[in-house]
Amino acid sequence: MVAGHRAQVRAELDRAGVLVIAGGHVGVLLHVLRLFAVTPPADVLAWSAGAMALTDRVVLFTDGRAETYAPGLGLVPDTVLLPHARRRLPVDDPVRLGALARRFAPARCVVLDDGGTLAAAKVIGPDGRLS
Amino acid sequence: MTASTRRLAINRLKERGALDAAVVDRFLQRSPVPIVEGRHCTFLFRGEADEVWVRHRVTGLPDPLPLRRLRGVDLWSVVLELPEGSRVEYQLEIRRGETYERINDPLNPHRSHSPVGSSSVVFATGYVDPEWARPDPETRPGELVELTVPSRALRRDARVTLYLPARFRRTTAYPLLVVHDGPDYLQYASAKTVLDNLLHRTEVAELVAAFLHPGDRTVEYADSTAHARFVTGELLPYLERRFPLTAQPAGRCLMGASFGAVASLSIAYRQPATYGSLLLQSGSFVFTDIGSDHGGGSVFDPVVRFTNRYRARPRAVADKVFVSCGVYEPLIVRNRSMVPVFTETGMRVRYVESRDGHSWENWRDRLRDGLSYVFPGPRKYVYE
Repeated sequence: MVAGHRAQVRAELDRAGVLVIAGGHVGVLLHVLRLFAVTPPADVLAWSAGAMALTDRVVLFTDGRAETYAPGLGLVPDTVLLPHARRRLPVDDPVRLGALARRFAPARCVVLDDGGTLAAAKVIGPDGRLS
Repeated sequence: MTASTRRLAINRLKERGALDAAVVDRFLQRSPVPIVEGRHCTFLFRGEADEVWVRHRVTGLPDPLPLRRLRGVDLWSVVLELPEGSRVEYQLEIRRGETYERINDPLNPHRSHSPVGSSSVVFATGYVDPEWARPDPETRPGELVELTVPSRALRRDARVTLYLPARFRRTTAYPLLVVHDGPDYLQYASAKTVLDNLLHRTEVAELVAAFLHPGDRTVEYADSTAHARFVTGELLPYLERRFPLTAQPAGRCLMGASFGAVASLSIAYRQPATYGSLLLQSGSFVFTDIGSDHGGGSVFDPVVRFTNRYRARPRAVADKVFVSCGVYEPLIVRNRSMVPVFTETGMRVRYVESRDGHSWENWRDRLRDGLSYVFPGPRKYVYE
């Protein structure tokens, strides 16, 4: 039965020009992507949890704590995406941000602000400063 | 007078020398009463009286606490040190001749409410009024449904107010929170608003809550076999047949404050494999180490017998337990003493103290810590 659904999803994606992945529950999202063996097309538009799922390592972060959760799709390698960081991380505390950046190095920890894009996003340096 | 107290508003007023009614009028208009300045809190009363006291239930402070009249005017004051984050409920007692009157502070608009009436409340520096306990227009409200559950154990029809979360679906299996003193939690601890907000913010898992209406709570909640039989043997099957509940220990929590906490522990103690978690606030866990003089009166006799029995042979009755208590309560020592007892059974225990008393707003303020511990929401997984 799953094979049948996978084939249907693959057929839909083959016809699509772009895959849009919205935010939400990143665990549910990763489960669905794996269950239906989603292979994204060349063009993907994603935000929030959707953007996190595109990386090779999904990191959960809330109330200043971070933990590696699961591998993602790997379309954005060597990058830890931190959407809505200002709502969930101590962005004004370089000591804690620096510890976060060094922990996941050599991957880049990228802060995605609300409404921002990956191209304009800031990266947390090993000293905890955003640049 | 120390350097820090010399700068207090009341002491600056005293140092002015000649005082009159107009000066006092201007003084009282300048700042909210009681006047909180750093760690110091100045209680005030204005009026004719022979004696005035602050009455409170803060363990460790003298009660009654006398105010002193300022020379030449009808203003009375006393300065207390209140540690950061404190929240203190109080009243004023006034003696005029042989007449004693107990009133809320007429100079302070802040009131705290409970089943036994209202009192004034003062917030020390650093106290944070939880915004998640106030109605949020962004939050989708859940629904309250009134049920009547026939109970042979209690020999009465038991009223239960059931909370169904926003977007309640029959196809979802929800955990169940059983709340003792349900109407009081709803009325005085804003329990519905708190649940609405914490579920909306994904800090707490979507759940169904059964708010129990007690009969005589000092009997039913004091280690009563009948009450335990009602909750486990009648209420759970009733709800699990009619509503989409997980019906597993991990999805069942017993919650209560004061005697309600005793009832929660007592029910789980009788059916240790039934409940996954307990949320115990300011539990009336009065016990004796020797003798039988517990000082709580006859209503505490069954509580003391139960708590002594549990402490003598503690056992795990749930997977995890949340315990909270105010450090200004007489029960703080009892609750602190229960924490290692719970821990040694292997249960996971989270213990939280607050600079507060035995009050519904104290219990409201700890609900976020407690509920997110027993039924954590998907917040850390949700990014949108």
